[in-house]
Amino acid sequence: MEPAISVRELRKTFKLSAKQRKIERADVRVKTAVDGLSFDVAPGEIFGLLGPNGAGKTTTLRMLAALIKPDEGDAFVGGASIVSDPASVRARIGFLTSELKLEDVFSPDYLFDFFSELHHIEPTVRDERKRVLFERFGIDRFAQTKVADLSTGMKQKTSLAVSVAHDPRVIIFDEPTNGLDVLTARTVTDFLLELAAEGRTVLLSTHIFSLVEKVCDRVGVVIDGRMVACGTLSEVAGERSLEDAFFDLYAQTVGEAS
Amino acid sequence: MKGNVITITRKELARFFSNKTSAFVSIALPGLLIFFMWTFMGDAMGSMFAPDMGKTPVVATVNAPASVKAIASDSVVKVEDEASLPSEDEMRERIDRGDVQAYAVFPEDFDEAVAAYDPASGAAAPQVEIYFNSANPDSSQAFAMLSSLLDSYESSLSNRFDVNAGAGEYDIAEERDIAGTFVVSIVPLLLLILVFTSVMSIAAESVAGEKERGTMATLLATPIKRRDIALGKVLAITVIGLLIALSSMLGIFAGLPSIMQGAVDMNVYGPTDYLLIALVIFSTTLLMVMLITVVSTLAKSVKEATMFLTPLMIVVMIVGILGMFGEAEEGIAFYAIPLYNSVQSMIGIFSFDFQPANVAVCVASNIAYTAVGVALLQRMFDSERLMFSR
Repeated sequence: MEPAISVRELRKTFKLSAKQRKIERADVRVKTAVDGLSFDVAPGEIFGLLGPNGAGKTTTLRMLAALIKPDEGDAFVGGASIVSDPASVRARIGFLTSELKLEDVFSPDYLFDFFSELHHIEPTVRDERKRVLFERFGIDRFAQTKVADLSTGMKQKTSLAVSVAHDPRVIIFDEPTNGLDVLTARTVTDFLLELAAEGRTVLLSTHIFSLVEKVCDRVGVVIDGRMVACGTLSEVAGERSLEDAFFDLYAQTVGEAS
Repeated sequence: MKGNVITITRKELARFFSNKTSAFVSIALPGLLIFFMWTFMGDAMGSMFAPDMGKTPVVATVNAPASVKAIASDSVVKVEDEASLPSEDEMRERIDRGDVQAYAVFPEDFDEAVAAYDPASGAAAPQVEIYFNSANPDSSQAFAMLSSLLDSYESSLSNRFDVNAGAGEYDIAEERDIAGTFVVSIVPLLLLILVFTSVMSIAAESVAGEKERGTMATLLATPIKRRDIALGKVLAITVIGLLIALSSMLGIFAGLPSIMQGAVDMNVYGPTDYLLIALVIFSTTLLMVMLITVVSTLAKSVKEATMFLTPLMIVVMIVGILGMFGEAEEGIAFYAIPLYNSVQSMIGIFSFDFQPANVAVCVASNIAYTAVGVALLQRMFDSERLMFSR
C-alpha cells in the first residue's frame, strides 16, 4: 500500500543571525535543523516524532505542511510533493500547532466559515461539518463568543475544529497537548484516536512519552535533526520503557556527536 | 484566485470594523476633529491675534502739539496728555491693563521746530518717539494708526503728490489667489500626515501584528497562495486608507474657511479642481498604503513596524512641508518623484497654476509605483525568513 506520508532525505538549514549566534554560542553561521530525515507513515496510522526541544521536529512538520521548503530532499503527502505542489499538500492536510493562533476578534463560527471558504467547501457541506464538530467539542455553546473571551482549552478546541474543517485525510499536529490542562489534553488525545479509527493518517510531534505510548502505532526518535530510531514502540523500546530507551539513544547520539 | 483574494479582503475589513471605536477613531475622527477644532476654535484663535476693532485706541502723549491734537480729534485715535514718559515696566503694565495703547513723546515746541526745519540744511529733523507693545494686538493697532496719522500730517506739510489717494480698490489679488496661498501652505502637509499616520497603524496591525500574534502562520497553512494573501491584505488596507483620505479631505476643506477667519473661500475651486485633487490624493494614498505595507512586512512585530516606519514618516513630513514654500515645479520629471509629485500637483491645482500633463504623470506614476510595490509585497510573502521570523 502506498504510504500516506513518504519522507525522503529531507534537509533544512537556517542562517543564524549575529544575535542568534551569541545566544546559542555557535561559531557557525548556518544551523542544520533537519539532517537527511526519511520515514514513511502508512494510511490510518498514528506516527509520533519524539525528540527534545530543538531536535528539528517542528521544522520537519512545517516542511511536511508545506509551510517552509526543504533545502534538499522531498516528501509526498497524500501523493503530492511538498516541493513541486505545496498548495495541494496544504489542501490535503489538517495542520495544527500550538504556535498557530486564531484571531481574537472573531468567533469560532466566523473562523470556521472563513477557513472553510479558503478550502472552497460548499456552504451546505460546511454547515453540516460545523454542526458535527462543534457538537463533538462542545463549541456550540460559545460559537458566537469572540476568541479573545475564550479559555485556553476552548481556544484549542476551536483550533482543532477549524484545522479539520475541510475533512482532511492526513492530519499533522505539532505538540498537540502542549500547555493544555488535563481535560483538554484528554479531549485532544481522544480526538486523535477517533481520527485514526476513521482511517485517517495522523503525524504528531511531541516530547511527552505518555502521549506516544497512548496513541502512536509507530514512533520515530529525532535528535539533532536526525532519525536515530524508527519503528513500533516495541521495536524502539524493546523490554525497556520508552523513556529509558529514549535516554539511551540520546546518550549514544550526543556522545557520538561530541 | 479572485475568490481567495476577496475572502482575505473581507476578513481583513471584518477584523478592522469589528472594533467600532477603533474604526471610528481611524477613519472619521481625524476629519471630524479638524473640522470641529477649526470651526469652534477659529473665532477664538482669530481674536487672540486680532485687535478689538470696536475700541478707540488711546495714546498718552508728552508735549503733544496743538496741530497733532487737532488732527487726532478728527481721527479714531484718542490723545491724552501725560506729564512725562513712565518707565518701560509701567508702560507695559498700563498697556496690558488696557488704560492706554501707546505712548508718544514730542519735542517741546514741536510745531515751531517743524516750521523752522529746512531739509536741505542736513540737520536732524525733529524726532517723535512712539512706544508700544508689539505682543499686544491693540497696542500694535494704536501704533499703526498714530504712525499713519503722523505720516499723513508730515506729507501735508509739503504735499506735492499723493499715492493711492481716495477710496479706490488698488489690491488686484483675486479671492482665488488668496485662497491658493493659504491652502497650499496647509493642505498638502496635513493630508499627507493624516493619511500616513492613520494607515501606518492599520497596516502594521494587519501584517506585522498577524506575525506577532501567530495568526499569519495559520493563514499560510491554508492552500491559498501567499501572493493572494498579500493582495487581499493590501486591498483591505487600501479601502480603509481611501476612506481615511476622504474623511480627512472633507474635514480639512470644510474647516479651512473657519480657521482662516473668512479669508479663504473654498468655492473658488470648481468640480474639476476637486476631482483632480481627489485623484492626486487617492493615488497618493495607494502609494502610501503600498509603502507602509511593504515596510510592515519586514517587521516581526507592530512595535518593530512602527520603528521601521518612523524614518518614512519623517520623509513624508519633510516632503509635505515643501508645499509651504514656493510655487509648483514646471518640469514634468518632478511629477514622477514619489510623494514630492503629489505635493507639487496639489500646489499647482490649489494655486490654479498647473499643467494637466504634470498631474496625469503624477497620478500615473503613483499607480505604477503602487503596482510595482504590490508585486514586491507578493514576493515578500513567499519569503520564509520574513513570514516565519518571530
